[in-house]
Amino acid sequence: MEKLQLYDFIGSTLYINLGNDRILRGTLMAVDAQLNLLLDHVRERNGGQSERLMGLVSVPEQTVKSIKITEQSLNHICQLKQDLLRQIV
Amino acid sequence: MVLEQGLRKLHVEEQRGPQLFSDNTVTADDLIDITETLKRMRLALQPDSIIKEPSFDLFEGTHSLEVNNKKLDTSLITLSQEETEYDCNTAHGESQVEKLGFVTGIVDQLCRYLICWLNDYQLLPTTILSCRYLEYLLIESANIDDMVYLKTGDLLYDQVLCSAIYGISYFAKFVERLMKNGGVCPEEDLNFNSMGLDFLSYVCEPSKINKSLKVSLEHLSAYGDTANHLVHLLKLIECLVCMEECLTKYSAGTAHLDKLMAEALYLQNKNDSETFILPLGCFSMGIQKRLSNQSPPKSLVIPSKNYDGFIVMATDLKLILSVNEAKTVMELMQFTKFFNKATQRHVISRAVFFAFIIRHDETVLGRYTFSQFAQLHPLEFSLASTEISKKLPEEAVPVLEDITNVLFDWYQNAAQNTSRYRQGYNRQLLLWDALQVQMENIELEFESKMMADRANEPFSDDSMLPFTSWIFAMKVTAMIEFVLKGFDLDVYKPFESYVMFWYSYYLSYQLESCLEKIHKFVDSRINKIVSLNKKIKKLKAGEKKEKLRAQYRFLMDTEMAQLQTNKKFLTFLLMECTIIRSLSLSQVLQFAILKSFNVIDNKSTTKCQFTSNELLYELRMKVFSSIGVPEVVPYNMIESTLNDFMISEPMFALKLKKTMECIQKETQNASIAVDNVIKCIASDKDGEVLYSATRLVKPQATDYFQRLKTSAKAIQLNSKVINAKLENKQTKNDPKSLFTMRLKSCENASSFFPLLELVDTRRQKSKSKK
Amino acid sequence: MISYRPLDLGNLLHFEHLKRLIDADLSEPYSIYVYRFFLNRWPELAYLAFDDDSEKSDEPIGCVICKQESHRNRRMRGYIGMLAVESKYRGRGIAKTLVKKAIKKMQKEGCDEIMLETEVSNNVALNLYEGMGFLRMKRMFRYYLNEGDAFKLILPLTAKSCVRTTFLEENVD
Repeated sequence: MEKLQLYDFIGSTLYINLGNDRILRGTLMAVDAQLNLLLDHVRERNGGQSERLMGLVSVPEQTVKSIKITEQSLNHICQLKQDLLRQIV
Repeated sequence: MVLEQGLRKLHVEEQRGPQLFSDNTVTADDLIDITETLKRMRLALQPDSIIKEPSFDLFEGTHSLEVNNKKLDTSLITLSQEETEYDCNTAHGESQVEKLGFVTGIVDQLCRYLICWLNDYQLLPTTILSCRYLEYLLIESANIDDMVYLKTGDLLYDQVLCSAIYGISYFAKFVERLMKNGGVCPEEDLNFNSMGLDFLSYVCEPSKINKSLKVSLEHLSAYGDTANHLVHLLKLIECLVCMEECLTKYSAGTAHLDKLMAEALYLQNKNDSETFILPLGCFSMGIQKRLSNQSPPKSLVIPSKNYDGFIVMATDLKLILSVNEAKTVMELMQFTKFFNKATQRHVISRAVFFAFIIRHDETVLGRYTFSQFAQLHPLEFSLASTEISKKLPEEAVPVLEDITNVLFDWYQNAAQNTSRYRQGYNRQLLLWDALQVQMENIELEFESKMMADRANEPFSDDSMLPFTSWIFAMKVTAMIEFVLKGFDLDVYKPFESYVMFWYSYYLSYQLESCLEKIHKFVDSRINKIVSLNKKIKKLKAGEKKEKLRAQYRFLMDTEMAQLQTNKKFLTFLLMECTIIRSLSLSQVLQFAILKSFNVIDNKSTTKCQFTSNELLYELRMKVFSSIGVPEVVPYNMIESTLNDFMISEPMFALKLKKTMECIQKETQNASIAVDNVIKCIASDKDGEVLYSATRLVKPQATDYFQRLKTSAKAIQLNSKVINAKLENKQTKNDPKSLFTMRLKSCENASSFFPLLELVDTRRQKSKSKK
Repeated sequence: MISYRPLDLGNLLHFEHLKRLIDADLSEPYSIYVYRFFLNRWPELAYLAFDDDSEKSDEPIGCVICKQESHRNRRMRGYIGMLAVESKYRGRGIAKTLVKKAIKKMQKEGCDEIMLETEVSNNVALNLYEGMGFLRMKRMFRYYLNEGDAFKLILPLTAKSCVRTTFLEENVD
């Protein structure tokens, strides 16, 4: 994992906690040096309320409480990276 | 790897919690927090770098929403307690009177929101979709693919309100379908942000809804006069439900539209005295927060206070459906030319227009095949009684298909909103120009092999090329329309008005020549048939005479009527062309006077360091730059055309007088031509000399020409005012410092010819000082 | 004294101030990624104005943000995306200077034309741009979310700007 860079997370599905029981799930399309995220196909869950789709959403860094990823996805990213590095070496 | 193991250790295996999102099984326990990891990683980035998915265009990112941004995050919308807790399955209202008031108020507001949505171009979510009941019923119904009714225990809600909402939703479904047809522009003309709601796709028969409305009306009969307003609202909704018939059945019937207008008028008159109280929280921005939504938050619209919008919609749709009565392609064309010209028609009627004439069964109005349609246009213009029409060369067949497509574009464009309409001509110019080249080659080839279609003596060297001539006329008409529509849309600066009016003058001159040529040809054909009769009379009885007589009868039966009609129609078009040419020339002369007094120049006044007047001219003429005939006039020649009109010493006063007289003459000419044209339109029939083919759009065509007449008068008057101001002794020495020119649209006049108004800069300055 | 400087993208403070300046001025809602789109790709086409005499002389009081892209691979088109000047500094020609600097830069970079859109009712903007030679090429019906029509303005810099794209040769990269 220490070999991973921000770029490796592009395209993966992230779970963003915005606080106030508000969670977004979306595909990471872009990220800038301030860690402002741009997510696509965003699904939002707001408290007990039902879910909804919001499309392409910019998530400013200071609004983020936490960023999470499924263990499965993380393993997948690590694996890809390892394969890549092995090819290069 | 150490870090990864550490992260795994953090992940304590417990009982799996609830899944986070409904569409996969991921629970909070499946997730690993990478916040700190990412934060560390970003430190490695240059502050100006951005990392993105390779195929992703950052431009798309400009359309993204943003969380916790008040202008972009619908989740931040705050709702009152009433809005949040609004229960659709409670019969709101203490008493039966209050309940009736509430239900009436809700339906009333929904109807007025329809007007805001369609007539004032507002969004769906800020108008009818803001109604809690509409949202609730559409969601519940979509779950079982059938209309669900409320269960409050009171029929006012459970039956009456529901049926009204389904009626309105069904009408919205029709609008959705219109949008998909593509007759009008999404977003510009009409918003259909459905928030992912299904608009009754499972209800195929409007009768199902109308039956429910009938049941509601029966229920309301028990309430007597107190339910009057609601009864009329339901009747109005019944009419809305029927509106789709113009496309589902291609019905041109208007009984439901007349009824719609009557109901709207009734409600309009009654409305002044009544206001209804709505249950709190019933209309709200909540839907923007609750449902799938890719738009920024928008406040609810304040509903319009009247029902006029329905009358406008019904009136315009009635007009559109009357196109069904067009007897000829000539009438169809004239209808299309005028129906949307002076006033932009209601969006629904504009959306219906193209779908109504060009039908799914590949016919036009159910009576012409597409290829007939393409041939009839030139036939009812220049093609009648020509050699080529009798022996159409094979190469022309694919071109006819192209003609059909360009014609479709022309018909569709006529129904666009006023800005798109001009852009449509921009596109069409290229299409017509390409067609002209194609057809010209075919016709020249045909001529060299067969007999040429030429007007006989004394124009025998002048072949007419009937298809090409028609295409050319269509093209130049489109060019003139593009140029003049720019004035209507306020696209030109005063300094550009010279070039644009000169150009429309030049183009209408070209068009006039073309029309005259066709006119002469048609005339010669008519004469030829007439002279045949004279010949017969001179001949002695016998075989030859009988043969000629048979030929004469054949021509009289098959060609004469069309030729006569074409001749009169061409005369009409010539008059229209004269009007445009005269008015354009008057404006050109007017500009020349102003320039002679140094009040305005035909050049940009900027001391711009980036561009030149030549480039500006060429940019303005870009649309026409590729057109072969008529060619764009080079920049230096435009300068000399203006110089020709300018007035200079010696004998300045005399020359000025002459120019003034010329303006008088031209505007007078235009006025007289307009009078003739209007008389012809009014007469409705094939006149002796003129035929306008405007039977179905009489008021619209009359209005268009009446405005041109008002313009003629206004231009005449304006030239006198300008003359008087500039000739005034006090101002004569230095008019440039005292006056400036602006383009001013004039009430009831044609927006194609704004006045070149002289503005006193002194007065303006002193005014602004105050 | 007002001084003008190109954007320093590395200076995060600039980015934040810029965003605040524009958000206050324009009715259109912009996300961070609107700024990222313009600024990260064309930082050299953004100019800022500073008031040297102010206490906050490092906070921009005006800015112009542009882009330049090949238009259908046939001509280079510069585009003025945003222009804002803090209200108390208006009427001093700051906007004009900013725009001129940006245009000059885009001209130098090989643009054939400069394009922008502005609301029909925005006389201040229209006067500013038309004063530099921009022409209204077309009107767009209800272009803005707040419901007004808009004009598309173009300033031609080379003859390429005056030929329909269809008739221009495609650039071979």
